[in-house]
Amino acid sequence: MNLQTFHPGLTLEHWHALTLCEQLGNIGSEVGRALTAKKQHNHKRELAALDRALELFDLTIADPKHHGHCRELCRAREVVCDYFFGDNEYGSTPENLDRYFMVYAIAARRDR
Amino acid sequence: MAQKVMGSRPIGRPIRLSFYHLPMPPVVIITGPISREELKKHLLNDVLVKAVVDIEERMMAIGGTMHADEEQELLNKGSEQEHLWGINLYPDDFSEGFIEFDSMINIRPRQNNRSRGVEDPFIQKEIRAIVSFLVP
Repeated sequence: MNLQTFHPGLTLEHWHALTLCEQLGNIGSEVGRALTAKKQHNHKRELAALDRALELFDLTIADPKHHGHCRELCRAREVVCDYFFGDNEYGSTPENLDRYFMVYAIAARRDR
Repeated sequence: MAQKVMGSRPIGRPIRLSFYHLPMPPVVIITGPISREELKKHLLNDVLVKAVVDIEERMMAIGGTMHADEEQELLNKGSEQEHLWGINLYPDDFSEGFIEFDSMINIRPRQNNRSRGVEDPFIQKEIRAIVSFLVP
């Protein structure tokens, strides 16, 4: 099986040292890029951004500090997959997806 | 039922965590022109290069897996945060889409920039000029 990583050199230690807000903010950046690419009908960029977003989701879900309360992380991942690959059963829109992650991104950067 | 496939990795397959212990690639500071081929050596999943531009010192950090790492490298070298802006470069794109203004590090309420984009058109213009010089 040809498995690959989409953030070469990103270590678990480095990712898990980030706060939840920083992790979700970074995931949101990739989701945002996928939304922009989808709007521009740039399928290659859309898939690449989603590859990166889902990789970061999985690394976040694997973070020991979220164990026991990662239900929302799993649900957020499911909602993103539902929007891009499924039937959009959650009725997501680009705006509400972006807004969801932006809250975390702003919280992570509030002192900057 | 066939599993839906995203890129080369089916959705839902657990990632192999042992892959995530390799050392991080070094962040490189670019102060003079480089070719697109050289830029491509820093591609992230074959599509884009994350970069942070210092609009005061007119230089750019590339090669990090996250903009925050490149931002930190420039801060360590004496850059001031208010002059640093995160962008993505798509080396295969020869249109305006070569530069994408989208980074979490751009969210800077103190400078009234509350999105991942670069909201000030003057700063956007500066960034475009610097990138055009560094990657002609």
